[in-house]
Amino acid sequence: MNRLMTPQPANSAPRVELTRWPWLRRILRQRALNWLLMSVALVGFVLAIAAGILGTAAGSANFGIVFVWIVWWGLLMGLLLPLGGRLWCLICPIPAPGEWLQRKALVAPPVNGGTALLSIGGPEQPPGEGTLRKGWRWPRSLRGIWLQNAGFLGVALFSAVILTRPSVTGWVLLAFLAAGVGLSLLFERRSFCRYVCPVGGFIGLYSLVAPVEVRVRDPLVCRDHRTKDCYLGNDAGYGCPWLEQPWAMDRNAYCGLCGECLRTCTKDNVAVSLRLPGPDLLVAHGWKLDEAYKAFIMLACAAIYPVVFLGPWGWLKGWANLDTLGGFGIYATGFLLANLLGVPALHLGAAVLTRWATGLREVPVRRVFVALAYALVPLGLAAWMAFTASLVFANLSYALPVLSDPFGWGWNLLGTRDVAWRPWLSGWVPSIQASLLTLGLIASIVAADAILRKLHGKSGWIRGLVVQATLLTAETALFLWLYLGAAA
Amino acid sequence: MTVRDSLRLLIAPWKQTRLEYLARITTAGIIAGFALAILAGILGRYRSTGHDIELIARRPAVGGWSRERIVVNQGERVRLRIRAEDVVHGFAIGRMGVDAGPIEPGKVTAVEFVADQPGEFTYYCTMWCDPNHARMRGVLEVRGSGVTPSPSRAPASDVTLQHLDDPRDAGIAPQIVPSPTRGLPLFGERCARCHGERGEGGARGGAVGRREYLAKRRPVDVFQFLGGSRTQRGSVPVDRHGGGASATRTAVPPHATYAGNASDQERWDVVAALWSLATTADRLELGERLYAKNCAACHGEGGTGNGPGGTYQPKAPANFTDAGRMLAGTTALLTAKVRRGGMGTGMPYWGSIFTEDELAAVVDYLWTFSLGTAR
Repeated sequence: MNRLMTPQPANSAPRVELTRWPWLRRILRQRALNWLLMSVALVGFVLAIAAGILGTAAGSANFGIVFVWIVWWGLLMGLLLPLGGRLWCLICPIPAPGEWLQRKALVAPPVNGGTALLSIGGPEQPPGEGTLRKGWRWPRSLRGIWLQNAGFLGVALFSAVILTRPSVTGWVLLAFLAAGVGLSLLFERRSFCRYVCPVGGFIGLYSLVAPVEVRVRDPLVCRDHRTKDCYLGNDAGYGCPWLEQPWAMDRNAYCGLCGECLRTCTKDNVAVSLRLPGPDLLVAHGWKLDEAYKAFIMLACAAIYPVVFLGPWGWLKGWANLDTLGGFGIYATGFLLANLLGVPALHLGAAVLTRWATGLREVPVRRVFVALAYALVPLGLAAWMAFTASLVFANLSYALPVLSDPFGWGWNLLGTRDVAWRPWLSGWVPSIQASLLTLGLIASIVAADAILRKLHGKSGWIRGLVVQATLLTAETALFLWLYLGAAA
Repeated sequence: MTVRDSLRLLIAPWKQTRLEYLARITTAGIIAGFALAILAGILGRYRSTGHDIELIARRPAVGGWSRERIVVNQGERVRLRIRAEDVVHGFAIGRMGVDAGPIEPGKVTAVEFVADQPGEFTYYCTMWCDPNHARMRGVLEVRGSGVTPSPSRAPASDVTLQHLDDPRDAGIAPQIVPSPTRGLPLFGERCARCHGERGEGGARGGAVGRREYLAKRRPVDVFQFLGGSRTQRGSVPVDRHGGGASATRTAVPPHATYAGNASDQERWDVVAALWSLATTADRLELGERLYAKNCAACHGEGGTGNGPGGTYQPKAPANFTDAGRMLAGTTALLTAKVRRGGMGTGMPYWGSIFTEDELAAVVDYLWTFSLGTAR
């Protein structure tokens, strides 16, 4: 039995189990919950696509731009992700139609009582005749989040175009929806979410520091429970759509918080809890190069975005905005080099120095490099929250007129069409950004300290921490300058 | 297992099925309702009359107005909702009196009017927004029956095109900018007896203070005529580039007699007085407003040709304070240039935007840079 088949020991860190409250447990176990949340989100999502493609070309007056890149993004980065981890994945409408088609049901549990798989890790049961669903397993060579990294880089590279042109936003969202449906019909469960979705990649990484988790209460109960309903499904629900094995789950990265394991567990052994953020960063078997690269990409983009979107350098904005192909070529080259080589190389250098300073000669450089990348997660999240604060508080007031006139066609559905734009809390934004970045720095240094202790296991790690803390402080200073100096 | 548990077990599948169908009906309803709402919106948008029209202003470098042509029906109440995507723009419709003022990014600027006259009207940006700001124009077509007003076209006798941008030099120029304030008392003292107090003409003298009289006459010729140095007899010659008509010669005494011992500057002041008599304070005020909105970006607030937009034009914008050039021109020539623009100079075409009154107001205001103003 491999590690994943072995129930993990319960984490002894302090936590508050939310599912101890019967009313919350009852709500979370409702089969209609996911359908209800996804349906509401799907209405908004389809409206965003329709408005993007059919509506006004003025981004500030188009529901597609305002509600996707300002309201949704603000909610995601400001609340859902830092407080709820993958909470958005519970609501996300992109996989909804595909999942409904895959299950041939919106709410109902599996008709066969949950024998979707012949065996754990084995081939998926062939679909019945006349069904569109293929149920293939995702190719082993494409597993991990490399595709998500590439997808995110693609969206980020063209973000100046996507974020400002409603029609482009509309077509990109439609492409996401089509990919979600298409891949759901071909591959098992939520392969799209787990391996392809460009947004899911960074949500997964940053959910490692979220204060919410789904875990088994007592691993011993799972050890003695042979039917593994939480993975295979039963009359009460489907096997984990995210292909996670709840009894072995000790990180948030790939738990979509869908609640299926809460419904299917016949031993009532699954709990949703509040915890202190961060323990997932120290789960050593989760340290992977693809996730490390995600941390670098997110950090690099968090530095590039304020330069392009908020900075005073109009020519750079013009390049990113595809004003000229030559200019965009230069921008794209710089962008990709910074993401794929620059920032990783900087951290590789710091990892080599840290390894030398701490005398970690028995630990391979690659392992030190990958492990320390997880120390960037809190700072990266803080930098993105700081960027989001600039973006959202300045533009959120566009949401009111857009609610009344989503297409920019002159409608006035709620009587708010002519509400004037005005920035909100503009005087507070610099303080909020400075606080976020400072907190992020402290949390990252604490994480680096814990990772080094875990790698080292004995004294001497402090010299390595000095190297890491210096680098993290320099990066925070850069972010502070970008948000409070250059872009202010 | 209690009876209650058994019952619960029995109805559970039915409850699940019921929930599933409820969800399906709701989802189908949402999809259908949504599709219908969008369809109704699209149909409503394209079939309605008296509708809101959305117009987006972008710098000409990235597309200019989102619509180059707007078609409405005569008598229709039109409500334009204008948004700027990049910088502050302005919106006005020429010859219609519609002016929305500045269009600031992030705000919807609405302007409402009744399209009561059929024809084609030019709408344009009124704020300098880009090196090609002057090209930011579109056409409002008002469909309907009735008399269609034509754009302001040059009369047949107007200045011929090839002479619009000829180099001009008066040869002589006043030491300081002439002043109608100084010139009007002189005119009253020495000219009014024949030409009337306001130059309206009398039994012994022509209506030299009327705009029509001065339209094709150059200030420098009037100045020289007053000195008697060029024409001892007859009236001030008509500029040949001002329409090709030959000078009318009439038998009147040489004006040097009346100018007496007036200095050059006093004669220039009288010239300035004549040009000020040919306009009105209201017209100058309108001209100043139109100039500030439409011309100052290139020609500069002070008319010196150093506006920020001028640096992007193929030819340096005219300097209206250059007396040597201005005093060798005529009202007819300036009017033709403003009306027609172009000719490789970068000067926009205003004939489709200004009414005749507005054209006259702008030109009269232009004279004040080299001939001063009595206001």
